[in-house]
Amino acid sequence: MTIVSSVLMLGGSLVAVLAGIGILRFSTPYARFHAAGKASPVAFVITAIGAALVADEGAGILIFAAIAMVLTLPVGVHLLFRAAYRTTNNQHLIVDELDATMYES
Amino acid sequence: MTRIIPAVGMVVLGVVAWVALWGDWSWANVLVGVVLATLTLVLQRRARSTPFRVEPGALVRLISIVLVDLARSTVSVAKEVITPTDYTEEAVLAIEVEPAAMSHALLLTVAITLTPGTAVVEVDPASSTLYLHVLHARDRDEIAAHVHQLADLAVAAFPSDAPAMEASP
Amino acid sequence: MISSIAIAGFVFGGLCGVIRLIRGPGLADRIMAMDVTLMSLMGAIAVDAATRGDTTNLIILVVIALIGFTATIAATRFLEALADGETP
Repeated sequence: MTIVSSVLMLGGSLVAVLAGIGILRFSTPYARFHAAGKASPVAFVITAIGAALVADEGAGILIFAAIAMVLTLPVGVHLLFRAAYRTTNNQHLIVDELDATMYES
Repeated sequence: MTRIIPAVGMVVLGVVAWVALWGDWSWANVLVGVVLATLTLVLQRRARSTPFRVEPGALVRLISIVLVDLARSTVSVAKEVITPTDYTEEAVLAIEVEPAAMSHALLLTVAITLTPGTAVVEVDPASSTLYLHVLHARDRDEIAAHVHQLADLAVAAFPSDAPAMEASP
Repeated sequence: MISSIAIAGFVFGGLCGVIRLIRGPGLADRIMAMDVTLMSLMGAIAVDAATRGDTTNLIILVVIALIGFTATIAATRFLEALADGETP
């Protein structure tokens, strides 16, 4: 039991390291959002499962926080993409099928 | 009868969340949880009534696909962090889904954002089109097929007769 | 020992987020960096609580998760209002 939870917590920490390197290393904002939006929930969910195996009383809170994170973080990433699309120039996109005139009102 | 069961399920979910947050399974706590969950549900039903059903089979399939996608996207992020890559193929693609899926736009957004290499930029409910940002534009057909599969499963998991609501805030 | 390594990983991820928060060439990058930093803080708190068997700090996780989500929404709405040229 303790070995499994230790491995899970170490794995989550490793994914957090990957997310950190990813947001420093990728050159375009969109690639950074991809790295952050996919690695962050995974890192926390793995860690929370590992921690919930050891902490008896706190398991409910940990699982609740993990579910809340998986459900809310993608929505935040979607809003980030939308805001970033409107504020930056999108020269590096090879295909852009989202009509820019859509925002004129 | 078909509308009672999801209501009971929502109350049970609310009680479980309430008790899990307190970390205390005493009877008084469960009782307060039942009262609070029922109150919340009644207030929410009064504000906007959207009857819906839950199909457990399709929901389980949707959740399993999303979990597999999460694992795959973690591996792909790890691969891209370790190997030197440059993103010369970023694109924003318009992918049309069936209009029924527009009432599940929130669920679709969560599912699509968790699949590797894709994210939702904009949702247009009028033409039922999703604008996706993808990292590898050459996989267009594969991405479209995956999005259609997710949309079909979302509609199958929560069949509803409600009109399409506002897509994104 | 193992918990120290795990917490060190989360601290590294959080520091990368802080660097991106300082350097980030736009407001959207800074919002994302804030999210990553908060996630690292949550992971470190979870590991610490699990290894010490102390559940006092765990409620902070729920607070951070909910407030972080609200903050992301508010900041992106502010950014879109700026882009549209309105006074937010």
